[in-house]
Amino acid sequence: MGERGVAAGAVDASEQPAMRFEHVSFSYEGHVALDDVSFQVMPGELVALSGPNGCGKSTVMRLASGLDFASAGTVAVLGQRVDATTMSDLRTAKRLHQRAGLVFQNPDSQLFCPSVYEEVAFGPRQMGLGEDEVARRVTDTLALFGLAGFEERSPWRLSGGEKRRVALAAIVSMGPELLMLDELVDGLDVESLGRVADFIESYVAAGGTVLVTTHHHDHVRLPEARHVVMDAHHRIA
Amino acid sequence: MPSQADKTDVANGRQPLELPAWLVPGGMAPYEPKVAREGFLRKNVLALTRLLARVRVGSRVGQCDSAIDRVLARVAVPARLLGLLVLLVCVSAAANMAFAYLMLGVSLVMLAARPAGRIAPVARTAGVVALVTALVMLPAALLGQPTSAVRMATKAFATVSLALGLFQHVSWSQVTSALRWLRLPSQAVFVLDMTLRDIELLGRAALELSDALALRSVGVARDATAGAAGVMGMTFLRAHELAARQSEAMRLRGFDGSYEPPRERVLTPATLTYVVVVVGLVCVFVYLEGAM
Repeated sequence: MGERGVAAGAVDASEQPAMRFEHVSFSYEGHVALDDVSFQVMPGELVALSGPNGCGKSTVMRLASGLDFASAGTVAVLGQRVDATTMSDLRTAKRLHQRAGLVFQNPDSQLFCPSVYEEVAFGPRQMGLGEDEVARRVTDTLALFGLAGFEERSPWRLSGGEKRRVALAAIVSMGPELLMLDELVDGLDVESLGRVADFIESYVAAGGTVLVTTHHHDHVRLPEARHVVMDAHHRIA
Repeated sequence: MPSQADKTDVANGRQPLELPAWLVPGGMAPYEPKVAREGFLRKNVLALTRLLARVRVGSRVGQCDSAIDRVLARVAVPARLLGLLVLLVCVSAAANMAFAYLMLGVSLVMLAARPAGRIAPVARTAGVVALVTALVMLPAALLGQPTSAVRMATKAFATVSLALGLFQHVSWSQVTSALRWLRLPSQAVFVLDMTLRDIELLGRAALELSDALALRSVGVARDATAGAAGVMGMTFLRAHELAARQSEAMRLRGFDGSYEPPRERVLTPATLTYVVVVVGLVCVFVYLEGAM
C-alpha cells in the first residue's frame, strides 16, 4: 500500500490495527449505547461483531465512520483518530469516508439517486474519476453483486435484497480498504447471500478488511471470521 | 423462504471471485480528496433535515425537567393545548411588541428553570427558527423597516419554545385525546395525526439519508444539486410510504378512525389555576393592544 498523506490527528502508522476502539463509551439522550468497549480489527481481517438487538453494534459502526463521536475513549480507523476535532477537517473526513465504507442496516436510508447506475456512480464521480473509469467501476461492481441489467432501474422500486446489494455496490465502487457491513444478512435471499459471502471472502483474501455486525450467531458461517461478541449491557462479552 | 440451514450451506459452498484491479486494496494510487465549500442547497438541506429530526412529540414524557414542568404536569393536557393555541394566536397577532416581549420573557424563564442539558435542544431549535425568520425578513429591513426582522424573530422564538415545551412533555395519544375533548371531529384529528407523524418520520428519514450523502461525498460533486435533490426527493417518498404503513398498521390493530377524549378528570384545581393564568395573559394582551 502506498504512503498516504499525513492527516490531522493521524496516529503512529507502524503495525497499526485497521480499527481500534479503546475504552469507548457513548450515550445519547441519556441512554447508554456503548460502555467501555475495547477491541481492534487488524488489516486483512474479517471480524463478525455479534450480540443481541440494541447492544450497540450499529453505534460502533457510526462511531467508526465519524457520524457520531465517542463520549469517552479513543476510536481510530485506518490510522486516523476519529473524533470531533479531526473530523471537522473536511479533507480528513472525506479521505476516511472513501477508505472506510459503511453499508447501513436499512438500504432505504442509503439510496438517494434516481437510478441504480447513478447510485453506484455517485462515489466514483465524487472522487473526480473520468467518466470511462466511472462506467468501468459501475459495470464491474454491478457484475460482482449480480446486478447487471439493473442500471436504469429505480432503487426505490427494487426488492429488499436487491436494495441491499445496490447499497453495498454503491460503497464498494469507491474502492474502500475497510468495509463495515451493518446487519449483513437481513433481507438477503439464498442467492444474494452467496454472492455477498463470495465477495467478502475474495475481498479479505485480497487484503481488504471487513467488519460485519449480526445478531444471528449462526446465520452465516464465515469460516475466516473472528467473532467479537457484545452483551446486552453494551460491553464486549 | 430459505431456511437458516440453506443460507449457511450456500455461504459455505461459495467460490472465490476475481476482483477488479481497482478494488484490490493497495492496487490503486491513494486517493487524495479535493475539498470545496459545501453548496448552498446542500448546506440548507442538511440544516433543514437536522431541524426536522428534532420534531419529536413526547420525547420527555413522564420526565419533569424543572419545578415549572412539575407544576404544569398536573394541568390537564386539553387545557394546556388550548392555552398554548390561545397564547400563540395572541403572540402572532400582537401589534404591540410589549406582549411579544412578555411572552418571550415567560418562555425564557421556563427554559432557564431547566437543567443546562435540557435547555440546549429547545433553545437551539427555537434559535434556528428565529434566525431563519430574521433572514427571511431581511429585505424588509433593507427597505427601511428594520424592526420587522426583530419583531418576527422574537415572536418566532417565543412561539416555538412554548410549543416545544408542551410537546416534549406530552405523549402523542394525549394530544389526540385532547383534540377530541376540544370537540374537533375525528376526521380532523386523523388528518392532524397523520400529518404530524409524517413530519416526524420525514425528519428521521431525512437525517439518515443526509448521513448517507455525507459518507459518500468523498470529493467534489460535478452536479452540486444532485445529492441534495436526491435526498429531498427520497425523503418525501420514504416519509409518505412510512406514514401510509403506519396508518395501515393502526387499522390492523383495530383503529376505526375514531379518537377517544381523555378519561381522567379535566377540571382539576391545577387546571383551573392554569386557565386563570392564561386568561390573565389574554387580558394583558387585550389591554396592550387597546392601549396602542
